[in-house]
Amino acid sequence: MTLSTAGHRKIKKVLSVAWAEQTESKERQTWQACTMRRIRRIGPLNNHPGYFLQVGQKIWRLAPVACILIIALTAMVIHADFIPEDAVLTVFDYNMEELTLKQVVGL
Amino acid sequence: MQGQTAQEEDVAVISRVLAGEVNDFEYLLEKYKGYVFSILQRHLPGDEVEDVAHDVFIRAYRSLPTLKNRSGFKNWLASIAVKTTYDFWRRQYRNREVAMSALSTKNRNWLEDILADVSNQSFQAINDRKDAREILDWAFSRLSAKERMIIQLIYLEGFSGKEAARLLGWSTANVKVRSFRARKKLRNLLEGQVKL
Repeated sequence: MTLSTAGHRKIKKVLSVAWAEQTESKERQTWQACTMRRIRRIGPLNNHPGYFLQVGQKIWRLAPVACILIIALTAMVIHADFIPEDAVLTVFDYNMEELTLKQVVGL
Repeated sequence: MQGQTAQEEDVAVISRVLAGEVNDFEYLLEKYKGYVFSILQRHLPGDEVEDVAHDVFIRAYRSLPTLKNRSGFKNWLASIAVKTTYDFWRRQYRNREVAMSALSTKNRNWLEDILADVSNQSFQAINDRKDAREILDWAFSRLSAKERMIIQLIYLEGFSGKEAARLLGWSTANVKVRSFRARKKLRNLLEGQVKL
């Protein structure tokens, strides 16, 4: 059958009341001592972040500088009238007969 | 004002623990063990509470350097307790140690009595906690660990989606979606048991 909203609300109310009732269970007397013993065994905490964490935190400070650099370089390239297609064509616009091994290697 | 002083005390103790005074952690342990136990008792079987409470405090101690708002230690500890409970149930489900008990005729009749009853007085009379706990255990054994935590926090304890998200360390949207699905699943489970 289909459970009506009112019916479901009734069930929910009863279940919530039962849930809220806590079963009093006292911890063993040795529980606290055991936990503290384990904590003492772990020893003092290293409060200083590790090397990689420090680098990770500091590297973000360079982000604005990197952004400014990217914008400046883009402006320079636009200003210099640089067209990537032309640059690629210039690279391949060699006379292959005169091309020496030195040129191929780029020396 | 007293709360303010207690928080200041916590901050001072945390600073000392972080400075290497390991034994000072016992102050926090003594002060908050009752609070942690009260959270765990609702979410776990009685015989597991101590072990999980032990894990909660060890986890809190290890994570202490990452605690930013030291005056909010209590809320932070509650969040660790809920997350540790969730990890416990996830392990149990992975190892398939959650008993898939069947709902008895007595439990089914109890559910039907609740639905049939209209007057508030007799509603109290049939308000048998033992039956309710058995039905909850039966329903939880059919839900996933995530659904179980969501139902416990939102449906039974009345936390808001935002509060549950903070305790579990999930996003609010994730909690809301899971809450909708889990409640629907629970309702379907209960529906399947009622013959009225």
